[in-house]
Amino acid sequence: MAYIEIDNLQVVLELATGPLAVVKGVSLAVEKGEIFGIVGESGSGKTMTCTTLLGLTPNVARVSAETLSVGEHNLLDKNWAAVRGREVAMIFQDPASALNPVFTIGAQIDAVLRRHTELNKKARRARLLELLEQVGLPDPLRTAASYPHQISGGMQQRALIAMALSAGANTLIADEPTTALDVTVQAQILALLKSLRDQLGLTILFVSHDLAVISQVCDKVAVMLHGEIVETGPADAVLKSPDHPYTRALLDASPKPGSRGTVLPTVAAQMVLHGGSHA
Amino acid sequence: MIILCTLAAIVFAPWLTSYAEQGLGAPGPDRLLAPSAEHVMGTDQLGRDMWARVLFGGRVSVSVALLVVLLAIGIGVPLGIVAGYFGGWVDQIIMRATDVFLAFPPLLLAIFMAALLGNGFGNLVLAIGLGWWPWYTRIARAQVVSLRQRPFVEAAQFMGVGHTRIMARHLAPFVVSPVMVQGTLDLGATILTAAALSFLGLGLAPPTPDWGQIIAEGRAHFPARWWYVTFPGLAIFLVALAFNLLGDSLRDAQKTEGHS
Amino acid sequence: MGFKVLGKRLLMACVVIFCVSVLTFLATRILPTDPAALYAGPRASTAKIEEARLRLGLDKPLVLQYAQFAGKALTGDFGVSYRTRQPISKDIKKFLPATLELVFIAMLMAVVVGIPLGVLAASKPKGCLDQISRLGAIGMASFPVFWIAMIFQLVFFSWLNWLPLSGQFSRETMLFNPITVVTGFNSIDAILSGNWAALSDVARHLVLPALTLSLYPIALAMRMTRSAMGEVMQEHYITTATAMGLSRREILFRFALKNALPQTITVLGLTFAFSLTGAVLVEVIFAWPGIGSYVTAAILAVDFPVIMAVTLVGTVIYVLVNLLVDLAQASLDPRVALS
Repeated sequence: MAYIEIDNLQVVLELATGPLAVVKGVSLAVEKGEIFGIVGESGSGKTMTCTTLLGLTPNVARVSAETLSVGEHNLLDKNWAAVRGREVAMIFQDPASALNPVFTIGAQIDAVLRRHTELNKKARRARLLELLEQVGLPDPLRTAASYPHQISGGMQQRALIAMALSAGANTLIADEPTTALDVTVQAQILALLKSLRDQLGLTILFVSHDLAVISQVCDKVAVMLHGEIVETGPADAVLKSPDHPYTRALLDASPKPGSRGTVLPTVAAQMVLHGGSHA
Repeated sequence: MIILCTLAAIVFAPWLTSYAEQGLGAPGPDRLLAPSAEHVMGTDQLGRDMWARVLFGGRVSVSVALLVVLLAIGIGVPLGIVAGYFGGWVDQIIMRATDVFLAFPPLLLAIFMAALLGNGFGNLVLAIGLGWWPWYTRIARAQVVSLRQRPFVEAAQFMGVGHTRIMARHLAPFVVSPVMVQGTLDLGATILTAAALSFLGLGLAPPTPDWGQIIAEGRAHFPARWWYVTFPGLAIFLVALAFNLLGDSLRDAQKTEGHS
Repeated sequence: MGFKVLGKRLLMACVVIFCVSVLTFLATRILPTDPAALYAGPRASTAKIEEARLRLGLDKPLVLQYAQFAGKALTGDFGVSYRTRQPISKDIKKFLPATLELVFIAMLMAVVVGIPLGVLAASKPKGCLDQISRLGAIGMASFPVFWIAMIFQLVFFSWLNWLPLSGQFSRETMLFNPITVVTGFNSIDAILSGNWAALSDVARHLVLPALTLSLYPIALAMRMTRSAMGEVMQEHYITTATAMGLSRREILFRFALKNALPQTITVLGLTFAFSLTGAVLVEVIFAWPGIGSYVTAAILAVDFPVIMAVTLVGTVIYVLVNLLVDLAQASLDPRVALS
């Protein structure tokens, strides 16, 4: 059995205007230590799929699945206290708003350490500095004493990763973790995630709309469209020779070396074709 | 609903009681009776029917509240529009003036003014209204500031429409709805303030009844004649509650409207 | 926080207090009542009134009169009460502690009861507690304080006979266990002098007035906390904290509340204003010898200097409380504090 097992996951939003299915029968299997990419446009249900692993779906969402498990945890039991932080942690697109503005970085990570470890105050302090160093933050002492708005976006994202690690999670969900960052910083964060996987054996679920980013870090990839997975497989294979017209459309829409000066086809145009082929 | 019933009860007061003249102050034969079928709320120390007193008292209390809010809007809104429209030193002066008036704890200013002005209907309205207008100035100004840069205002200026006309025709309509909401909420608060002042002896001169004053008179017979203070108080509570509930739901409605 | 900000706020407060004093002063001079006639008393002769006019300096130009008034007020001299013929500052000193005792309890209740309830209401939007907080706030804002005070007397004294009707302590306490005056606050003085019999008596007398005065502040604090928390709970960092497995309690009372606090503590300014003026009415009902009873007696005796002095003192205290709230707010937010 794979480390993360999702079988026939359905998420329906009970809206005032009626029920709206946003995830329609998604099945995934992610092995331990894998970096698994989920790619798709906004609204394709990729983030919703991930949040079901933490029970963070909105109140109006009804979640059902045949299997939903991470490691030894059956998530359908909804025993979230045992899962959140301890087994699965999540980092978000906009690190600036994901950090609490009125607490120092150190205080925020310390709260997680206090919750999930038995360490005393001194040991937590040592662990905090160790974690900050591990995620490549220079001058951990100063970063720990800083408020989020005092450090750069890249450093904020590193701090969030440190927070996720501090809980001792084996699985990390990274929801568009580099979208809000500069390209150079983006590459550094991707490298960091990879090295953490190598060092700690983390399993990473990597959500992005950006195929270039996915191709840099992911071992496997699933392509989502309208709440369904349309194609899945090893990252190289899927990205080099896509089977599904939508994946091809996505690939065509991303800039490649040598494509300068030509007009990129838009996915929307291709989607009309795609929609037509199914009709 | 409560508001409609109250207003109707107050307007039609003479037809709702057979003791209309007692409601206005004429003494009756039976003093300090407990509530009964004949006198549903009992009678007071001059033998007047409490139901009639409460009905006629409501006339005074509710109209004081209405006039206070109207006065506050009348002073506050034009000042707010002017401050927001012209900006600069005009804005500075007007807004600093509101700061000064809002620096007083609300009831304290009203007590002070009412004590200086003396008893009487107009004085009561003036005393409360003087401390109330700055809120409307702030609301109107905030609204106008957000509109001032809009193209339709600039277009009107460009076409040579006068300042007064722009403010009255183009800006004032946008101020109406937030002011209405605040006004409804304030009706509840002004009823309470008016009642408090007349309870302290700063309201109307007897025998014309108003709710606060009836309670003040009833204190002499409290707690033995419990009905004397209970019913007018209940009337104040119900009317204030009705205005507050209405204002609150209006505010909610406006909020959702603003989001869409 | 920079000293510049602090200085600017202090200066603003001073300007406001100055304007307030000018305004109150002018109001007493413009209005048709003649202070000299009031000072001289009801059946005074014209000569007596003229003598009073000279003595009060009312023949001098307004600006001079104001300067004299303000100069004296700055040293704490508000003149003499027409009614008690005592220096007003002495009277205020005597009556203020009893009022502040009530006001502080009301504010304390708002913080200790209102804020936690608001946090809990926010933890389940549209939940049971949330609805109660909404209706409670509206309901409490609709009660005439003086009426609910009397209803409490009716229930707890007349019907149940659990609590005393009015006053600060019973006659027995006054006779057998008199409280040594240290601070002027009865409850604190009773504790300081170890007078436990008196303390329990004082506490019993405190319950009803304090409860009456606390109702609205509690409801207000609950409502404001609820609405500030409601916004904060939508923030991404709350999702992060949840995703990291922090406990609900820690998220609500530590992570979210600290963000909601700047908005929540504006409640303190509002409840202070409410309690101060509400105390006037509550004191009258419970025969509580505070500033409220003092000013009410002054109103009935048309004792202007007292009304004016109390208005001024009340306003100055209110401005200072608001200044403190402002500064506290600024220092709570690191983004403001450090810039």
